[in-house]
Amino acid sequence: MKLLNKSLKPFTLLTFVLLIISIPLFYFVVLYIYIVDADQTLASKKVRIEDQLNHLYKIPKTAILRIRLLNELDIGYQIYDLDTMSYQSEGDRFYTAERFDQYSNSIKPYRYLESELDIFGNRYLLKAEVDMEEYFDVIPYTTIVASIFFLLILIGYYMINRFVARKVWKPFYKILNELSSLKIQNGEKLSPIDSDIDEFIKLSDNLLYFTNRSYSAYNQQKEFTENAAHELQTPLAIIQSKAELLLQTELTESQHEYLSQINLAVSRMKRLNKNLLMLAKIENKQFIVNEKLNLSAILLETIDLYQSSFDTKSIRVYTEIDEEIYIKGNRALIETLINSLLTNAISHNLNHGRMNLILNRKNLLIQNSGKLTALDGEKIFKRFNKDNKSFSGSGLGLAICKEIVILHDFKIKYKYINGLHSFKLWDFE
Amino acid sequence: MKVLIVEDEIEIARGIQSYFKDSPMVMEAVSNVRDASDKINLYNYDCILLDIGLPDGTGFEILEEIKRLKKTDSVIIISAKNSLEDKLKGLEIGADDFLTKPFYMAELAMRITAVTRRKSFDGNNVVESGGLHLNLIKNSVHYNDIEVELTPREFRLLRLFLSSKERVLSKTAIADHLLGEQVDFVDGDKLVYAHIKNLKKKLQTVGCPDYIKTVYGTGYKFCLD
Repeated sequence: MKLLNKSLKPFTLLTFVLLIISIPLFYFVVLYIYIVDADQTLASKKVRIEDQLNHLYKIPKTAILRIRLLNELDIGYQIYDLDTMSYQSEGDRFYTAERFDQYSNSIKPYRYLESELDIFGNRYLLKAEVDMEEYFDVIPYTTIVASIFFLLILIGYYMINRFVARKVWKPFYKILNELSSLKIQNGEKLSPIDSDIDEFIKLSDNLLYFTNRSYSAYNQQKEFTENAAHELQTPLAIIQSKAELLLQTELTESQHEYLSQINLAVSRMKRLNKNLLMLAKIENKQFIVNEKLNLSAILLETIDLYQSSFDTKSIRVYTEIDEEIYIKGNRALIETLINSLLTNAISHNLNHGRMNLILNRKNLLIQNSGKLTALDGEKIFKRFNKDNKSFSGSGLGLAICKEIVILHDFKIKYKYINGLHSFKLWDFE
Repeated sequence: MKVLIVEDEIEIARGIQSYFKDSPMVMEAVSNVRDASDKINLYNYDCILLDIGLPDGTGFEILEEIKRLKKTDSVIIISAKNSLEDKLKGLEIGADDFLTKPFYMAELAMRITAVTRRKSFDGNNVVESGGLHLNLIKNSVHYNDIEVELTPREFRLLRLFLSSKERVLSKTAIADHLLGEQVDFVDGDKLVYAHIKNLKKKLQTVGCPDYIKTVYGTGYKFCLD
């Protein structure tokens, strides 16, 4: 999730929750105000009716006639004679109830007041009502208004993010992009950040410090490997030449055996050195990779070269090689790549094992039988990986393959398919 | 035949000298550019083994001087740096061959014979030993006028043996010669064994004596007796 969206999400959630809470809250507050208001209206109505009936008409009989008239008019209240009813006074009683209204032809909620009136010493019951329909309309209206505000807030926040935050974070994104595409092995360096925000300047300074440090560490390590390998060549040459001289003298069988072992060790170390130097050279980009090469021909030549090895291990080789597959690359490196992959497929193979070599326009597939468990597809391409040390190889073959593949912008992957260790090379066209 | 070794690692120079002690080659050794330049100006050599990294300069300077003096000495560069640029530069100035350290003496012997023969027997480059005739131009082999059909690798193998007669060649040296630049070839010993077996069989069918002897199972030796 992007940084800018990260803050948008909880904000949206908060706004939404507040909105949900606000709708009933709004409803109850409005309802409460309405009821208080209605009750006040009813109470004052009662006082006015009682007052008017007692003082406007001096004769009680007229008052009774007025009451009857008022009842007939039905203008929001009825007055009942309590002497004819057995009514126990409980003081003023406010309540809400619904009834059918003939004028609007619907059932409506009303607020009622039931209260005792004293008119010329007679007890009357007043039942006054106030229409409460409006408050039902409050719910949809508040919801609509709140939703509109919610939307407006979201749009506003998004706009702020887009135009303001994006501007503020721009240097951060710039350095982030630069960092993710940074190739230290190519000697690329980060450019300092252009911002007046203290945190960004600090981040940039620290990143510059660390990338420069890893750059120099990388260089030192590379130089060290290269120099060490070079410096080893001379003592190796001396050991080898002395061993060769010794071989020409009169030796016993066991001395011969020792000498042969020395020779093997020297030859292994020579290979190791050679491979380390090769890796250093690939990393230093000392190879030019723009020759047009016939991969089919290189593969066929290599297979031919290894024929005797297939024979000694009785490996059944199945080939399906399309002709005239051209790639762009460095001849020496591509030959090394094919050689290493084939060597690998032979040396890890079983006696009487099988090998499949398939080349077409899309990919090169090298499969071999061998150990019955899958290897770690990541680890096998690492230098001096333990899985590769079982044989006398340098443990660098596949690491070199990987580097060659990276240098050429190809892709390589290991997979264990149907009991066969498979190396797939693609993206070479 | 006179050979000059220009090499600052005295042990390597001495190793080469001792190895060729009993051969018809006379080996002289110098360890810097100044001494090498003195020798070149004074004497003629059949072959000069030239190291590139020297204490007072580079082997390229010596190579340029040889060319300036219009000498016909063959030059083999022996360098610890197996870099393509060095190789190309050396060959461009006029070196005849390039050998990367560490190398086997047997390999060196073969290279020395090859470059010197190329100069002295142009066109008719045949190595002869014990009735075997190797034509280095046509890559063909005859034993007493009967042609022996050899694969390129078997031919290389036989040529190596002929340039290091009466010497024990270790299996690793032979494998190195046969496989050359191939990194990480694993079953070198088996490969050597298979090729030698095939070569011996082919030589036997034309009646050639079994010149190639196994030495305690660790090496091989070509002897005429």
